[in-house]
Amino acid sequence: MDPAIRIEGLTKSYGDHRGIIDVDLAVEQGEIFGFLGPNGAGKTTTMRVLLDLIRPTSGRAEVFGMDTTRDAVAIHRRVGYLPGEFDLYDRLTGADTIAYFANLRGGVDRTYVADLVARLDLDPSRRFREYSKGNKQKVGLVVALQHKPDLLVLDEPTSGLDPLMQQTFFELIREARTDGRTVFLSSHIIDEVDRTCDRVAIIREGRLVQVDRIEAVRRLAFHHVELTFARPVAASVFEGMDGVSDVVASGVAVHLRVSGPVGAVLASATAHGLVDVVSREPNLEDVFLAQYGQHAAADGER
Amino acid sequence: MGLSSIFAKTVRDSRRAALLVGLIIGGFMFGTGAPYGRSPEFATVELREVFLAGISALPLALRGLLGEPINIVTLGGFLSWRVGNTIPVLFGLWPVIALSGTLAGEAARGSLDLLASTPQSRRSIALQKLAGHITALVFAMLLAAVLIWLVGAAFGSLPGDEIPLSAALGQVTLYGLLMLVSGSVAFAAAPTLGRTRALGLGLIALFAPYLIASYASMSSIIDALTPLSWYTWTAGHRPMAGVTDWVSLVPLALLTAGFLAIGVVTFARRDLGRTAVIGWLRLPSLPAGIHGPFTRQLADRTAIAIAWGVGTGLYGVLIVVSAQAFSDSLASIPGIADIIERIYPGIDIHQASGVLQLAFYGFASFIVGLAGASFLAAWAGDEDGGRLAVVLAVPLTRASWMLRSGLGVYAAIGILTLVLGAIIGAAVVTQGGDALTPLIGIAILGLAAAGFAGIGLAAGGLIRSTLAAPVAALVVISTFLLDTLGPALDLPDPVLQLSLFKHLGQPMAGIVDPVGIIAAVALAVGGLVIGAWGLQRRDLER
Repeated sequence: MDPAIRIEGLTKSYGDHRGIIDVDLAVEQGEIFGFLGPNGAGKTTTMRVLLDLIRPTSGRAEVFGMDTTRDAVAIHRRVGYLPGEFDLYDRLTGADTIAYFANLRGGVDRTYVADLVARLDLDPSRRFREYSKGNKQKVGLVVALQHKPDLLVLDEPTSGLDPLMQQTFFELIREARTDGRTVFLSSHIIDEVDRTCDRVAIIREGRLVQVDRIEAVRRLAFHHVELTFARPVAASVFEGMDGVSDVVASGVAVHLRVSGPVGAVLASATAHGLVDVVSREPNLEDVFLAQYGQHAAADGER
Repeated sequence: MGLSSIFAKTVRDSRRAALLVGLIIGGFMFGTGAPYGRSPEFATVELREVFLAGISALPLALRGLLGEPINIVTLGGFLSWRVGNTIPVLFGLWPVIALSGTLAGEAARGSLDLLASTPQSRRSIALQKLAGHITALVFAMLLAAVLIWLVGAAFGSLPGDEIPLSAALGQVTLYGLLMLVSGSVAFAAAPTLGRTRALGLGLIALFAPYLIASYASMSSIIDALTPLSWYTWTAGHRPMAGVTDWVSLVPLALLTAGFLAIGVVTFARRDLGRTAVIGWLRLPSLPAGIHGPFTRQLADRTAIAIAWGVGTGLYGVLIVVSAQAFSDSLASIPGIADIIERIYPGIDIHQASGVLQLAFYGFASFIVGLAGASFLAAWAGDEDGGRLAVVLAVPLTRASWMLRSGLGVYAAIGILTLVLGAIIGAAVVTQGGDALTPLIGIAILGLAAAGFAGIGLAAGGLIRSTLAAPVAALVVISTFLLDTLGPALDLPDPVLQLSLFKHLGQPMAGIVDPVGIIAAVALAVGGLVIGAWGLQRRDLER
């Protein structure tokens, strides 16, 4: 079975501006894949290449084994897309807008559309220009979801949605996965991505820096460790150790961050009268922020 | 740079347009002044007086839309008449577009909310924006004045040909005010009516007074409207021709200031971005057009196409109802029939169709061409506004979207043409004339507009869709200038033949040239096909 998405050596340049550089990525069918990165990292560029809205400078991308440049229309039959920024037809009502895109596709189940509209609590009788940002986003979501596509490409789909609607949205995409469909999404609601996605990729400055299952990403990352001693211990004991950073001594406690094995830290702590140890696994947000942090640190050294 | 205040940013945003307007006005003066100063036909005062006598013998409508010739035996007078009288109309588009959108457009985008949330009063925001635009306009006029002065110094060949800087400044003061007054109408209307309607009112304010002043001599109906035209008020102020009437500028300045004040006060008082619903200004509800790109495009363009058709049609009606009076006035001029037969062979000036060809066709072709460009501007919104990314995520090839949406633009031009034809046809019938002949002319006029739009679609597909409207507008304006100024500039015949209208015959009068029709169809079809090919090959914007 072909992967839902396969990207090989994909580079997209905009003249002097960086787009994405040598990206390799595969998204399997039936998974929810999170695509994370700071603003301007290249998430939208990658998604637009998948939809053939822009063409690769080099490398290639495939959706369900079809080349994005050569087989765009066939791909579009199986894809639902929500851009990060969009504006639809001001004078059409929400219902007209949804119907227009249904007409362009054909074969849309009106009952399912009505169900989507109801679940997203959208009033379809209002003109698009009268909608709030969140309601415009709901119209975009219905347009992307209404034909039950095999692959959903969603760029910041929760943008503008209130927390309740965010919950509904994540329910909808979990249902899509249950049906065996694939979801490729970018989001800044990392907590939800953490709970919903099977795998995640982090892109920074146009390059993929991490791709793995959520648990593995967390595991490969650091641990927050809190050590408690019988008496105060200086931070310098742990500073400089391999994989140790952010050491803060506070009374009899020492907080530090450890990347990789914690054995050496525990051995040293034991030698200094360790009483208790608490280690917390990082969540995805910690991982993501750490990537930012490394970036910032690298910038600082430059 | 230029971001220290709203005023500074407005000036900064307007600087390119100001520079361009100043340079183009100077370029027109240069292009007309150089041949006038050097041509043997204008080498002596006597030769110039012969030319003046010939011009004066023609009724106003036959002189084009250039107004009364004042002291055209001097370079300044000639420039003021031949080029200057059309400048405020052509370049008045700039303040109309800018001032209709400076607040309303920003409100529609949502950026005005951010601006208004800064510690600035609404009145201050409006005044700073206004001051910024006026500063840019003043800069453009100063630049034009310096260039006019240089043209006088470089090409004046007889005593009196020099154009003092003070005269150039006096002339551009008139231009600036005539340009600004239409923009001020749009500015006054925008907070209440929104950008599009304000733009429409501004365009009416731009063209109507000009047309009234130009055609007043043709009929008592139009003549009765002349007190409403600021072109009539200020007809005696031509400093470049050595004639000044500064007092006539005072009411124009007061009117402009009044409209601007209304705009500022209304903006300060009304809810931001909330426009009034005015029943009589609303066009009837039309089908939503949700069956595909063709119907979608057509549905969104239909209302404005009808509006363009009605506006241009009313102008045509004025000409039709004045046809008899026009014909009578011509008959009273000895030898004029021979002159007309020589310049416009085969035209019967006793028929409404003949008068429409002489007095309507040229300007209407310009207006309908610009209407086509405006449809392209809206068409480009699909890509520029990000809608196209959503549309092309469906199983639809880019070429198919381009062809279908482009046909939608052509269909909108078709609707404009139908409305225009219906209005003028009805007017001709009520005057007891033959409606069929001018209707053929109007159909060809629409075809020409589709040809110009085709050039825009080709550029839009090949490069980016936001280029479509400017390219089409540029071709329309260039063609209009080529037709109106080309002969006076003594341009070589191959250059004059570049105008599509040189090859369409005199269609309102029933004289049709198939070469031009084939060319227009080729431009429309070829442009669309090239655009479709181009769109398949490039990245989408945004």
